[in-house]
Amino acid sequence: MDSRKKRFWKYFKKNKIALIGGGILVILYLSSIFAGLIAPYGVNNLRTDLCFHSLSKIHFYDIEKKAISFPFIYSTKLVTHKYQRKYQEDYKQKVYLKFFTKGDSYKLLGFVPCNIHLFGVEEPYRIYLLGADRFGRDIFTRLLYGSQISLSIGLVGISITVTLGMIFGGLAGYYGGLVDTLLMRFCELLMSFPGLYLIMALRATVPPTVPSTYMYLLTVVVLALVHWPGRARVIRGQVLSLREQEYVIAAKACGMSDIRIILRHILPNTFSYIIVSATLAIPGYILGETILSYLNVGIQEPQSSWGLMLREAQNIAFWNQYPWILWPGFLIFITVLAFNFFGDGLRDALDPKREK
Amino acid sequence: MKKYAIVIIISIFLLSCDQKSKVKLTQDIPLPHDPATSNCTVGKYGGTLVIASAGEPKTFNPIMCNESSSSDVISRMCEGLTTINNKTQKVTNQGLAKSWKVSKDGKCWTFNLRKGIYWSDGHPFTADDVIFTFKVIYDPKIHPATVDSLIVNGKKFKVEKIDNYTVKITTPTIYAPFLRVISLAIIPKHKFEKSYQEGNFESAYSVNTKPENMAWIGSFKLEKFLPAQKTVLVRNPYYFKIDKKRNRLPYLDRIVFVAVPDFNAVSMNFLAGETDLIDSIRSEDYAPIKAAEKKGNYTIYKINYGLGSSFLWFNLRTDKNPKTSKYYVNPIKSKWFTNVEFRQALSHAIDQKSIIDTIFLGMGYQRWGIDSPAAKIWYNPDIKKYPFSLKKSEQLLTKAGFIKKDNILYDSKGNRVEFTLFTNSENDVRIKIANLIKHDYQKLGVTMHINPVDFNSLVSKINDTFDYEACLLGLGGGDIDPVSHMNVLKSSGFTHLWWPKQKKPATLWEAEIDELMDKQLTTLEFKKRREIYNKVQEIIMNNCPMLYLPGRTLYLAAKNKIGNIKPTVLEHRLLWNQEELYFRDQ
Repeated sequence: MDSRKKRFWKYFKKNKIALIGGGILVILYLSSIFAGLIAPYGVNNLRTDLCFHSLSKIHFYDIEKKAISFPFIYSTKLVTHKYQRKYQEDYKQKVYLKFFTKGDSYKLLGFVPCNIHLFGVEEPYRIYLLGADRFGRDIFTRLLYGSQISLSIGLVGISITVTLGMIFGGLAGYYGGLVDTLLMRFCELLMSFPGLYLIMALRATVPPTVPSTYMYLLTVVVLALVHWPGRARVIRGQVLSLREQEYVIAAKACGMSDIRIILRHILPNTFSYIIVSATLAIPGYILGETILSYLNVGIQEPQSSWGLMLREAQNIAFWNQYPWILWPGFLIFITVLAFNFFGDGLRDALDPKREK
Repeated sequence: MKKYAIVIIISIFLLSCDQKSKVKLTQDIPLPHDPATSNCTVGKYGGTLVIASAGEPKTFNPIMCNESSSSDVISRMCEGLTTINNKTQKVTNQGLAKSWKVSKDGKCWTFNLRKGIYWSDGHPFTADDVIFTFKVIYDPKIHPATVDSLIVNGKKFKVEKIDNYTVKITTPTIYAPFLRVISLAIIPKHKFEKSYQEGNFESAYSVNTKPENMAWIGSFKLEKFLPAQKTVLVRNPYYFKIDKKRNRLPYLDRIVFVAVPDFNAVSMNFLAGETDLIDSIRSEDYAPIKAAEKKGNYTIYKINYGLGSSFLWFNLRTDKNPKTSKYYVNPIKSKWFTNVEFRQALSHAIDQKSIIDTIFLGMGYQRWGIDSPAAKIWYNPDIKKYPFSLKKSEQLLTKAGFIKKDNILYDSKGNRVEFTLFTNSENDVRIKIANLIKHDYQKLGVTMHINPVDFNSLVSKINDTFDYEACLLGLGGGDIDPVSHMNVLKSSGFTHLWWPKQKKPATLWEAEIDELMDKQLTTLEFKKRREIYNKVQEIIMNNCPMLYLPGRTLYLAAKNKIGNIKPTVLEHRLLWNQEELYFRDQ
């Protein structure tokens, strides 16, 4: 077992792209866990007078004193330049950055009440690392909070899918016969549902007073419920061949119970497939959430998710004027790529044929 | 990517349009005996006007159409007895009647129709068409939306034919806006009579009817309708209007409405120079379109105030549903909603400026009252206004017995103040506005849930099931005359949104409005009528049944090569004088 792990590492380390992908994912997930701390503002901290504020430039060099200075930004004012609204820096007013400053309250790790932010500036000035959205909310902040939903949706979803897939696939494959037929026909039944419409119909039945968080959970569950039959079918196929292996027959001969055989001897052999396919399937969930929010049936304002943020970019006229509203799209792109590279690396490293 | 693809497809298809045949100028059709004369600049013939439209006609039946994507096209091909000049906002005799007389008691109107004019299929137009149109409109089985303004005190007009070219219309009482409401489209008897008698009038002139089987009297007639592609109108060779040099109008050969998927495509098509005008520029599209104004060789026109309005209202019903014997609105909440101080407080808590700054990107105006400042002769500037002030709003709530504890508002009985607002999910702007209002209300301690539903189920909530607490919607502006607000203001009205179709006015102020609205209808003298209507506007704003939201500044654009462009605030802002438009020599 130990040598297998070593071998896996040996191959995985060689794959630089997979390592980069993995690294990006670690950074993304860490920043999503500590979103409240890293973000300078609360998720719905509006400043309607700073609508579509551009990216704040952080300066390290003081022109007047001609010396390197503590990082600062200039205050800005709205001007109309060539009919476009722009926020121009006002060089008279310097606003120094503050680190570990007090601001909007949030719950660190979901339960520790806290109001310390990694960085920020004195109100009424605002620092917009990645620009502001229509309501003057910090896009950087909303991306971080949005990642909590967009990134976890894949993990939650895939764990439901895999669990259901393993149970149904394992049972159907191991017992075969009538059980197999019934379960697999049931899977086909579920697969033939048009998932998107199912979700939209469900959305309409949920009363509006239900908080958006439950809506989010419901969305994940529905997405997972639509997706698991595919997984179950592949696992069933693998179990079908595994159950004819000598060690399974040996276990049977020893009088082991069926459940034990499935759990101890058959399913563990499907793990390498499951890990790889799960990693590669997570981007599907992230994109699924994007589509749902885009169609306005997913996460609702004032909560944040990448899909919801990308909704604003439906308007092509904005791409030119306020290109920073495309940040969530960029992050989705990066995340999906990272997952694919990482999954590919896993597959290569876990591939038994490589050991030859 | 998809949108680019669509634009490419549209451009390919527009290119193919260039190969169309030149429309023959049928000068051999003699000019009518009584033509209408336009005093516009004399233009030149030819050319196709291309317009992108995000919707497409659902019907071509002028009586049955009730949404703008149909009526925008149909009204290009119709005429009424009178017409309203969009520029002056006044009634003119450029329609089917060349003149009219009113009796001394102000009730009996005699219209002299133009002689020798024809429908687009060559069939002569006579008084029979007018009589038939009114017969259809007043038919209780058909009941079109327009009929409401043609009934006074529950009585219909009496429409009689004197001879082939004279029609007498008698109103039950003096009816001030008569000449305006009579501008409705007249339909050809010879085309509609058969289906009317067979009882399927609603399906006549549908989108499946062959254009050859339709007859029109307006400056254009339908040439072809290709679903999800385009609607092509071609000049009506029989049109009865001429210019100063006795050339028969219209100048243009064709008007093409290209169907595009959404408003993004509308503005992109215009920017790409593929369409000739754009009726309404969204705030977000203003900057790119304005920036390319010189290069694109077009002009942007600004209209400070639109006629339409959007607002938030509470369901003010206090009665029970007779079928389920349950209250339509939870009595606890109903008590808040029917409290005028509660409504005023919530109106004060709406920050109109921040809505303008963010939703309209600064291009909007703060709106108070049922009438837009664009309706110059009717707008009452002295109505009560509710500027943003959380302090005032809190004072009003305290006065009304509400208590704020830990940032949550409770009523005097200790119920937490929260309600659900419905709006239509297709309209992103409304959802965004609702979210801003929600944010403002949170500061008051009021929790507002937002539930966007599709438009049709929203309409059925408002009109049939009444199972909602609050709603955010808008009303488009038709005409400026107070009569266009009749069905909203009168408690028996179909669009008396907060409690429609009441048998008896629920409150004293609603009863007062009913009385005043009936009174203004029968007051011919403008000054007096205006006084009465000013009072109506005041009562509305004092009682605040509708919490008004800011309006958008209107921007329109048209290519410089089009002559006789006269943008107006009334509907069909650029196309209302379509017969006069022409392409200048380049």
